[in-house]
Amino acid sequence: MADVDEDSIVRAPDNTDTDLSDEPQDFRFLSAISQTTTSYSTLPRRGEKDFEQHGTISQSNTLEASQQAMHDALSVPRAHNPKNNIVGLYDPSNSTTVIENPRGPMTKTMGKGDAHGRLNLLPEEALYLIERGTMDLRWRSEELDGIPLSLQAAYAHLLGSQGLTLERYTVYTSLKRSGYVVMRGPAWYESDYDKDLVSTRQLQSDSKPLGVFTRFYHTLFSSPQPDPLPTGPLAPPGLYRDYNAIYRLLSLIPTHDPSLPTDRESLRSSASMGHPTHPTHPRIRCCFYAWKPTNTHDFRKSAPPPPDFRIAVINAREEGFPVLEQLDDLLQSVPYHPPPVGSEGQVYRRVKHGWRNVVLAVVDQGVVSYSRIGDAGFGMERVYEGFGRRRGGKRGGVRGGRGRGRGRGGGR
Amino acid sequence: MPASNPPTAPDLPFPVFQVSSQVERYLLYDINTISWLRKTHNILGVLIGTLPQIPQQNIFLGLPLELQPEETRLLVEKGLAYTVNDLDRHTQDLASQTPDQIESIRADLYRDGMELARELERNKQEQTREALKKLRSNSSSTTNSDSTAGPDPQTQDSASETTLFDSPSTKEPTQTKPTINPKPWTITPTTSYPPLSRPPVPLFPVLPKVNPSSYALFAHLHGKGYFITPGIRFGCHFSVYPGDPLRFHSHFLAMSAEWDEEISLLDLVGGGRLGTGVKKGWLIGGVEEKEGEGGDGGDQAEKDKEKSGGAGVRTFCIEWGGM
Repeated sequence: MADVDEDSIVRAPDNTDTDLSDEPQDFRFLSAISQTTTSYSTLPRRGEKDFEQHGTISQSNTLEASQQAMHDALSVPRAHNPKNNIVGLYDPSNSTTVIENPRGPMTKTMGKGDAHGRLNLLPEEALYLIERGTMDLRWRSEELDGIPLSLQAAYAHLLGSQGLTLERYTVYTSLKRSGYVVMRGPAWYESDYDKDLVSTRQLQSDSKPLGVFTRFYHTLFSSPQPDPLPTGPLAPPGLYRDYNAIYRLLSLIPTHDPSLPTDRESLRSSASMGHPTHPTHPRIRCCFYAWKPTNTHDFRKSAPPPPDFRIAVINAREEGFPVLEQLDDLLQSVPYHPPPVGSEGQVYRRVKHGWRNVVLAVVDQGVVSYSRIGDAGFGMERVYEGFGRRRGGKRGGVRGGRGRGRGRGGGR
Repeated sequence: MPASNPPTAPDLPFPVFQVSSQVERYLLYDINTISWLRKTHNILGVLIGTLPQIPQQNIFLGLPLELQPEETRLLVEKGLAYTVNDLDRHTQDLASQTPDQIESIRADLYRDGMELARELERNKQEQTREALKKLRSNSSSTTNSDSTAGPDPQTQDSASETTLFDSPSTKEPTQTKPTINPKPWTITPTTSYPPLSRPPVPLFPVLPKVNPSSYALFAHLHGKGYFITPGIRFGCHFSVYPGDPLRFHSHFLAMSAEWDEEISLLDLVGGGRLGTGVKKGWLIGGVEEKEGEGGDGGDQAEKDKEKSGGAGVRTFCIEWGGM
């Protein structure tokens, strides 16, 4: 029984399991989509694939058709209608991109306008607009007047400028294609690293505003608990009104309080287990802020609302998974965002939401995989407080105790 | 729509573009080379660009194609390709173009744009005509009471046009067909080579930097005819396919290791379980170190092994036993 239970957790729920972008798709479906609509409901389900070659003509014909469909789809040129052509100018001398007459929906969420009504684009924005066939980018130079940059020339010139790596660009376009509004985070310039860092004092001042009655209640009921003796029983004899008071006495192991900033020194020494530390791990910062497409109708790029997601980019080939020190530093740099009010008692929801969270986008040669890292604050969830109130409060405990490792080798 | 020709072999060796000295990533822009590599050399790469025809999705991606450093290295070692520093090349080539050459590029682009505009115009007219034909056959079959319309199809044609389609352009097909002169469209070319002439082959090929153990495993599996993609989706180095992934499921999740590398037992169990869970084998492989080869002359031996493309690689497949 335990086996089935475990497996259903290991295996992701259905919707993530059938993520279409996880497998190379059959390009034959593409023509079907582009002929009907671009609505998401018409995107194909996972295509039928074979286990291995069985040497039939039917199989090789199907493969041939797929390859041809792919070839055709990739041969479609990026053409611009003269009626609504958006022309950008690229200046190779200082690698800047400007649109002289900006129009269209993208002006709302991209670029930076100036006093002359022009739109200055960041390299990733410019490259993305070319790639999706929205903008026609031309050289700003006497001799090359009117000649467009090829996609290749744009990649060669725009990547590497203003901190744009291919990994960051891959994540940027993947988010843009999904419809998010994306802007740069603090990772691009070292001077921005501590821009969003919330000072300790500020946090403490608005962390626990206790009301008069709460305080009164606390003095009434919490103080009579005697301090445990250094050698005596954990719960010294006395008057207890409920079990919670006893449980509170039993919680001896200090836990991390996500509402307080971490003590770097102790973290470093505990992570290194006494070995000499070298704080040489590069600091990680959020690379992009992303807003869900549904919230964008009154989006103002000059004064954007707090982002829905903060995304850090990691190159799987060159970096390891962040160490605790890096993760902590990263989490401290994002705003304090506790579980929503009203979720009290829903331990899973709260732990999943976390007290601060970031998304890590791990890029391996053009393939992006997103994972969400949250400061879970298990220590903040007093599971015992729910015991008397509801049945099933026990579920808040951490799963997988002792003795479950053996005897479940039932994998297929 | 472009002509759907089977991919022809490019002139060998063909250039693979390293973005710039700063960005060590290898990209391909020429669809013909890409299709040819896929078909005849089992080299896949990863499409990273946006498809201009349906840009708002992440399932079908477009040009350019990013080659893994292992793939690039294999192609260079086989003498099929050479690497070109794209940014340097562009800067150099654009500066050295004569006004005449630039003028001819401009003229070519204009001609292509004109051609496209004409073709689109023709398609539009074709569609209008089709729609009209359908409309006419519908109306004649259902309502025969239309007494005012004479037998002359031409007049009926224009009559239905003006009432049903209120756009002046639909009048054109019947009257001014041969003299279409639309404004030219502009096209963003995908590649720079052509129109510029192909960068010269360097005398000494530059080999992309790779991790020696993963490259050996890559070359070994590729030599056995497998198709290989980056493995991050399954948490391994490479996903290994028995044929083109367009048609086939992958068989192995490959992980490379040094011959004497200690592998944590938990990694082994984790990999084996994950692989079995997704109906694949977890494959681990590395270059076998023969007796007497280690220690001294190790450098030379290592190099030779790398050169020979994954010789001496041994692989093991681990599956969850389910006892």
